[in-house]
Amino acid sequence: MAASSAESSFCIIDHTADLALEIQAVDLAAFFRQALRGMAELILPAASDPPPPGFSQILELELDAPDAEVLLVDMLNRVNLESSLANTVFRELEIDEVSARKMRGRARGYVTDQRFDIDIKAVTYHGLEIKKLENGRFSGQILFDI
Amino acid sequence: MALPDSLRAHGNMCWEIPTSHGASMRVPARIFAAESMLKSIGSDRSIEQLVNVASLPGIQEAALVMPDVHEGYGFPIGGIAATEYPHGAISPGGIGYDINCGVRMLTTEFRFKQLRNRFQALAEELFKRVPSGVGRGGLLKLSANEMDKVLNQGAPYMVAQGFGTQRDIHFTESQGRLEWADANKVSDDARRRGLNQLGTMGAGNHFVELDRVDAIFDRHTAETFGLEEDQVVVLIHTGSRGLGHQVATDYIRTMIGAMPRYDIVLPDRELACVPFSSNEGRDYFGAMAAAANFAWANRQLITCRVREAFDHVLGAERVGSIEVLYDVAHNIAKIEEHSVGGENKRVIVHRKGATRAFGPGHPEVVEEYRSVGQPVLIPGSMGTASYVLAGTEMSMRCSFGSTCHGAGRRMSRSKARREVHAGDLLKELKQLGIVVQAGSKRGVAEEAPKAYKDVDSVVDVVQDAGIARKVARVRPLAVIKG
Repeated sequence: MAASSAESSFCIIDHTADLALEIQAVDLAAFFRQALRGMAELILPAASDPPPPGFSQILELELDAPDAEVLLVDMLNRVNLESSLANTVFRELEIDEVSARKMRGRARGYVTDQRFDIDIKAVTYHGLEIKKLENGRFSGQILFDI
Repeated sequence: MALPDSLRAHGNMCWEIPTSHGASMRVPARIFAAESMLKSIGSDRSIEQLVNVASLPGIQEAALVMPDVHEGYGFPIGGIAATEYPHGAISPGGIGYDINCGVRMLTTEFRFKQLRNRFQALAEELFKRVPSGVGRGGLLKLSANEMDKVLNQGAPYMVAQGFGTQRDIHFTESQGRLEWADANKVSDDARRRGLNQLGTMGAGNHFVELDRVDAIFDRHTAETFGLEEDQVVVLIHTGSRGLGHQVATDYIRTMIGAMPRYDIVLPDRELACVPFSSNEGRDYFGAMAAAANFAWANRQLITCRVREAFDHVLGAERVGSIEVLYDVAHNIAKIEEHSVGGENKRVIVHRKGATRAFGPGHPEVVEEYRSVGQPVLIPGSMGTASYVLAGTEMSMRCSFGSTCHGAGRRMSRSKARREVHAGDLLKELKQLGIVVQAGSKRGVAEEAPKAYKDVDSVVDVVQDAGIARKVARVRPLAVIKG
């Protein structure tokens, strides 16, 4: 399964016991946005749970980390935690500021009655590397323990 | 990673990759497997991950994997690493996100024929009483004070509250409580994730199952464990749920931040570790133990729900008691004494998808089982056999008192969904006399028997290698899943 917007995309990849997302993005902010969208798609595909107009749930995010990979995992783990606690699907990420060590913004989503397809135990660091390609685009893969 | 050229036989059903294979390897890597399994094992990143584990600071003797190995994240699933106590590494990745995922077997006094027409009703009742599936909370919501007590005291606290008997905890690994647990080291986030999850099964490969003992391999040991042919038994497979996941998440993050202070550089961040004796190491060990206690409390409460379900369905027909045969953890770290290079040493044994298999005479095996070794419970998939094994002296010598933990996945969930039609599978299982009560057809397809390795082969390897002994085989009658 794949989805894209403005030349950035995510793709769900098979893994023996878990699931991974392959992400291509025009910049780091787009990489983070695609990662969050991809995670939401893993939890509950939009096709089976059409999002309501306007997202009522807002999760403020202000994170610091030693590098972009840890920052990304921190962001996704924070969103996954809140998502699992209140059956909330966060499908959009607004970013005020992002660098390799800092991110400020908010995830937007909605509470759903639908049962999630999978339980993400955690977002892992396994094999995670956000690569900046020669053409300036960003690429990487994230593995989820499910 | 393809199998390395340096791979060589190392005794029966064991293969070794020497330290010369990789510059960072501190000890050899050993694979317990039949020769015919090696190609499959080499088809994913399990071997690469095992080689990485061999680079952990303070690792002793060898990094090990069992025949049910498959690629994980950081550690391979089915991995065992013992590190030097107290200054060797402690690594949350060596325990996994589902801390104290484990298996409990309950024995009943029923024979198959007595319940022949009741399995559907029992499955439906168990499905009601043991919430399963993604995000399903339990019927018991803990106060903050009660949560502290569960985390510090584990299954014995549940028994003190009326959920079960002293006998239940006597026949649980570590008596259902790790005494060094420290609830204060468990974050508020982790507590929030676990608040309403006690008594719940979760999703994925977790289950509650009614089984029939269909083969006895070692009559004396089976009798010692209270098993007879045709007996109906119950298997419970679950762990510490969201609470344990969050503890692992929290501490892997902490250790990534701390590793530079200890000059630790590793090939994979999921192997993040610190010296056990450091503040971060001690904190994690206390939090991990608290999550393990939560898991034992969880399986204890589910045990009570199973008893209630039998009472409800069978009423006056219910005879005898439902007793815990044993309860084992297969994702955990413990300080244990083992022989390393001919010297008895305390080591920190990480088991990630591996089961403790202490042999006869070991003081930590309860007196009732001490002459035969501890029971080792190996769950299969929903259509295949599960096994009761016994620990051996060889496992004490060769695998830090450990053996395999299950069939091991061989197919991704997506591939299983593509290849298996849940409706057809349910019909096939019904023809085999297996009732399935599941929350989702997706889950049924993902957990299809073909998605797993052949559990019979896995168990044959550990028996042939001498690191466990077959006692009995059970086959599913009713499977309850998320």
